[in-house]
Amino acid sequence: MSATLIESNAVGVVFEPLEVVTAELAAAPVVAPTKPAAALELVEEMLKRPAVVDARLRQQAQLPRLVPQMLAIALAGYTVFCLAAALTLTLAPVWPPGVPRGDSLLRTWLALLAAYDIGILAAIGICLPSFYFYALLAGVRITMLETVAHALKGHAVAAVVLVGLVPVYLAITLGLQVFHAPEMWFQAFDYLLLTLPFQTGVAGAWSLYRGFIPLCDTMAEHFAQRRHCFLRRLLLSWTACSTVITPLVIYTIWLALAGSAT
Amino acid sequence: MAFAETSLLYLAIGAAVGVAVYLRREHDAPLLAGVATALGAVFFWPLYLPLLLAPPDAAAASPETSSNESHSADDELTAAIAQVETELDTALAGLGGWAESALAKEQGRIAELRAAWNAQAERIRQIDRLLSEIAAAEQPDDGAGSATPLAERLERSRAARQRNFDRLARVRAQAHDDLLGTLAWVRELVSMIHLARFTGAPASRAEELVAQIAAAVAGVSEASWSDVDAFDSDAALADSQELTRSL
Repeated sequence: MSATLIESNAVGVVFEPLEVVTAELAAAPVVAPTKPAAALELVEEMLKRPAVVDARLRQQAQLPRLVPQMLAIALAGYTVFCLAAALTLTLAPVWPPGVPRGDSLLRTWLALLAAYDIGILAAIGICLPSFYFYALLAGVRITMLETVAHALKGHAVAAVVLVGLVPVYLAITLGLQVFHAPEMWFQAFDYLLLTLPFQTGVAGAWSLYRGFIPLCDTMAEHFAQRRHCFLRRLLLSWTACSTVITPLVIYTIWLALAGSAT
Repeated sequence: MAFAETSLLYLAIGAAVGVAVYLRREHDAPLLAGVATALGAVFFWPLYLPLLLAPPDAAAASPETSSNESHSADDELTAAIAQVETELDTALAGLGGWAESALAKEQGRIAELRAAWNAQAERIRQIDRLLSEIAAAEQPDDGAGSATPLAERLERSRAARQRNFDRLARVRAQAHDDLLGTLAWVRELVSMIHLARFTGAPASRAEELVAQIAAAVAGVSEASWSDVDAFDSDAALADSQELTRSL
């Protein structure tokens, strides 16, 4: 199996490596269950068997069910985070400068909730056409619906990780309260907390990458060899683009709903 | 346009999408789930729009999309596996109250067997897809007939490639035969379970039959390895070395 033909010789004749032929045989495919999963089962699969979730996304018939489920998981995760963030910000002795604040507690909380919940997911809507275009540009045979599902899966994974990290941050801020830490510490941790969805977004981006790159097998075999790296770069570009746009959308919505920034 | 106007426009479009999503919901879906999905569509309509624009049966409507499974969701292997699984389920359900312990002991291996069938079927589909792509991409040989060293080298390379693909086709045929053979064997055993059950055979007979079904997973695994052996790596290596020397 280790036999490799020379890829290009002096006269420029290209021979395809035998690995190209045998790689298909070597890869052990993960078979997606045909039975649709409930949202909680999907969360479990994301944590324990991410390859099964990726395999599910490759089943067109499951997509109409998976898209709302992924959205619900992402929304639930971000909502938990928002509640924790609102609580932390409210309990802190000082409101961090530059962070929008409403004229009432309710408005402040609702603005924060809407900003993150709607902002993060609305940013996908903004970036989605470019994601789809990038995929087509790389030569992946994909539908818009699959693109949506992959993007949402990335956010759902990030949201699940976020829910896992929120208690840690809550414990830290509680510790700051108990030990009467200086205001500067509160502000630093508040800013860190507000960027937490972006920190966990790395897990989402990795999940997106892991699910998306195998789509290279939808390209023609000789084509996939050349375009694999290109697709990887395009994916990285899209992630960077999304990372820039998302905070802008969040801040705009937050500022508009809260009324003013301190 | 101010934030309020933009939001209003956004929500107006969202309301239309929400209604459309609600109307297109599955008929057997609970009302609450339908309403929740429609509400989600109002706020996140850009994510639901592709769902609306996709054909009702996405699997049937996009046969050339990325899904390996969706390519051949209804192919003969899927149908054969589904049939055997149904028969097996029926037979195993009949063990209740008669030979439950056999089922409890072998449940894990039977699950493995099902996974192995599907993996084998998927592997066959992958090889089919690969071979059809190769056949479609195969260029006519321009240097055929000429006796230049380059043409000879190209011809040798083409022949080596062809031999490898022929081997791959044999691997595929072997895997296909093995899978169908295993399925047929399991069907036979299933019929024997029914026979044993209705002829008053002892529970030990059922245990023996279930154990044989579970043991079929080894057959599928062995078939996989024998497929790899059939792909004679030494011959491929020899081909490539010969070609490298000629270059």
